[in-house]
Amino acid sequence: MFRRGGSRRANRRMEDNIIMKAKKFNLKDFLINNGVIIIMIILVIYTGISSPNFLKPTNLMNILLNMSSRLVIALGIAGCIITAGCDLSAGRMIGLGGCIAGTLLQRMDYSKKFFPDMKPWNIFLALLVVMLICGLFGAISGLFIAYLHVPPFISTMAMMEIVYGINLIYTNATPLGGYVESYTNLATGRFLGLNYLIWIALIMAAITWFIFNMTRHGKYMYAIGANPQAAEVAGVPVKTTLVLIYMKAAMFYGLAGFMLGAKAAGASVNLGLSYEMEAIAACTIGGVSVSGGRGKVSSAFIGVAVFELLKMALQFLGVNANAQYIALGVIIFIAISLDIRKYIARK
Amino acid sequence: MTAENVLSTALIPLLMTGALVYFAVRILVFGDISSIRRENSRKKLKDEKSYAQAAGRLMLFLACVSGLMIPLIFVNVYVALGEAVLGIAIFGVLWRRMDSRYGE
Repeated sequence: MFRRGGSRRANRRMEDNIIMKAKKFNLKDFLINNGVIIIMIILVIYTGISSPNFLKPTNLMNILLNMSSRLVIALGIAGCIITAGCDLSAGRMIGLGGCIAGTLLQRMDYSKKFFPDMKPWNIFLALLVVMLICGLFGAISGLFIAYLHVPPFISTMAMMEIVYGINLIYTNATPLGGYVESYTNLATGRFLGLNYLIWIALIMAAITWFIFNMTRHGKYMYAIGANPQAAEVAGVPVKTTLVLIYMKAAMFYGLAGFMLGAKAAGASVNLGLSYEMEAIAACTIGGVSVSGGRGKVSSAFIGVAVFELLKMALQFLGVNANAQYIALGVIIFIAISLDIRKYIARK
Repeated sequence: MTAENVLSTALIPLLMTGALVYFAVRILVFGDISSIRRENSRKKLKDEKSYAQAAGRLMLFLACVSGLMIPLIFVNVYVALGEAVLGIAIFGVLWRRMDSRYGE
């Protein structure tokens, strides 16, 4: 590529030109790659102007509260997507987590108490149990993917069915309620002006950032996502890493179920239905690539924020509830199409 | 039993059956295995056509397992769960065998 006989300075100039060309800002590409986010920001600004209540602090706090559990789910699923996988069992794990927490944290005087003679547990102990149980199911999904080579979408779909069946048996399909105050306080209490649920989400984001960027496990995750074959050759324990990723993700879903249960002060087997799709869409909108190897904690955060802002904006604009689903579906479709475009361009 | 009742109780197996039948047909009829394998996922397939046929059949098997769960949920949830767990375990073992035979 460089002239053999040429001077070192000429070669350097040539190299600089190539770098400059590569780094040259392309407005068209920028607009296409970030189109969804730009359209949503315009929509949010328009909603803010047309209905002033939209940008009031109480509403923004409400959006943050809605974002908290969604962010935890997206952080879990982001790990799976980075390895070019997906996790369709997230919604059912959330339902299971919410229901287990609900049965362990009901008041003694509640007439429809699930375990009438059992005292309510300590909330931290209940959370630990929820996360461990969900983590176990996640590990089983991971084992199917890593050791039996079952594609992630099939194995997690199968796990979704099993977890749903277990939840049906466990709760007998009855809705749960009558929670102890210490549990519901999670959704109402505040620390430094922010709701506890928002703090939990921020702590989980910090932990995830640390895992993704500062640990060997995080590096392995990106390596597997970029090229599993090369990662295996390079000595990455692909199978163990995959199991750990799906286990960690499931523990996050359990936590999200626990948070949603506290927020709604109730739970049922249908808690978290289709949340996995929203989380996958949020990750994709934020920049976690479905083709693997790319994605950050900030990507999940941006995606969830944009998604929640869009939902709230559509509500404020008075869009029909059913039409909102269509709008969200279109956004998901466009986001994934643009992501595939980026992947093809990179290739 | 109303349609709403069926949907609220058996929506998950219904969705799973539908999705699996769709992918099975796509793999069996069109031989499109991109949905179950990434381009750079693993080593090259030994026999792509046989792999697609076997994978499609296994996906149909899993769709049947899931489809059978729908009526069983209304008869006995324990039996439905047992059937699903057993079916999925068998599917996993068969998939591993299929993958080692035609895959890598």
